[in-house]
Amino acid sequence: MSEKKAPGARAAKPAPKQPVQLDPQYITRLTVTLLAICVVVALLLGVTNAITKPLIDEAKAEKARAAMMAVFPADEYVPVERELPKGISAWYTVRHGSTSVGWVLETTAAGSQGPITMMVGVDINGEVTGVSVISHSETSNIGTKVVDSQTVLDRLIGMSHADGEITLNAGTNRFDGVSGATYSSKGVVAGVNAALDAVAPDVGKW
Amino acid sequence: MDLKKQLKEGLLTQNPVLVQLLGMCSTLAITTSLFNGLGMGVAVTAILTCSNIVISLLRKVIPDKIRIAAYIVVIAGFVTIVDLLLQAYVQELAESLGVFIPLIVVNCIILGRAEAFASKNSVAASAVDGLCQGIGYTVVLVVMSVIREFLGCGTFGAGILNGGKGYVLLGSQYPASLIAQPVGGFLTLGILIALTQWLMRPAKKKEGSRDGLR
Repeated sequence: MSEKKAPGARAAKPAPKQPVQLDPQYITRLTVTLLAICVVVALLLGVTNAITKPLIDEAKAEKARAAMMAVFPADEYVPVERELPKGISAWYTVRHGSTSVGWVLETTAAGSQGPITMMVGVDINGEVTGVSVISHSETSNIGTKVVDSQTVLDRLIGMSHADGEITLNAGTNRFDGVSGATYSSKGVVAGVNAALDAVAPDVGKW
Repeated sequence: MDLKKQLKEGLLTQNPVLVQLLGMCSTLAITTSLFNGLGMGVAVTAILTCSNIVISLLRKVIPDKIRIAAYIVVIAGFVTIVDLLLQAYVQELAESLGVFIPLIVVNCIILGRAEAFASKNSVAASAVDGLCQGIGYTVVLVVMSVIREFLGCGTFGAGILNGGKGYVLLGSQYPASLIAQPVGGFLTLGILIALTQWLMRPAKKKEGSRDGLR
């Protein structure tokens, strides 16, 4: 019997339920400890952020610039000062010297697995000069056949809204997507359509 | 402190992924290329070791009632620091791992080791434990990544080796993209777990006990 008691005694060791201690000193200790830990961690994060922020911002700006150069090479990109329509996160006027020659827009549209963010270049006649995907979460080897393939994206070059919205695999203003990656193709088309819609009122006005 | 024993536990008998089945989400999601697997493994190992050290240092200061909250704050701090550092210095990796870096905060391996080991052991032992468990995690990720990258994409080391292009081992018509998707992750992991169990079987018989499981 005494042997059998051993496990029982062990199980009883974790203290039986005690009423919650409301000793003010104990509560203070809890609060101060947690607060101190938070303060130290916050301080460390602040320092890290101060060191890395310039580098991160620079990398982001560099990436955005590279994407703009890819879709519409130019001397200068001037931010458009007006309220951005839905789905458009950045809008620049493209300049060669002092003449404006078109726009570059950053648009986001729903893909198959998440949002696809892309840079779309549009010239003064409302024709697409290039599309470059900046970020996406499409399925490797399926959706990426659209968003990571510059050959596919380049098929959008020269398309416009002259004959209405661009439609996927149908209609007169037709973009042939990649079979098996319909939703990713749809996302790219939607992003380009949004960009073309946004610039539509300004096309041919300069 | 038994370095050899801890390393063996981390790699095999108490492997965080294959035996404890912790951190499944990231394991299944990011092991699509060697670059991702290795990057994630190193990031987790660094965070695990650091958080183990700090939590072990603070184990006598942190009152029992708020220990989980305190651990999470410490872990989240390290994860955010690593996230920022990756974004600043290794952008390609930060981009391809995406949301899975911030999600390390809730990786069970880290909180699990904090609670099960670091809160009860000395600083040195906790550091070694973090390192060994991290290495165990990394090795599994790397093995899974290599298998899945080869079968799913037909490449080896895309993103790091051969100037970032990797070595193309299979023509584009051969890879089974299924393996690169979550389904393939489950399949690969299942086969790996079965293989480890099979490998560990004779060792158990010889010892005649289940000492491996503390």
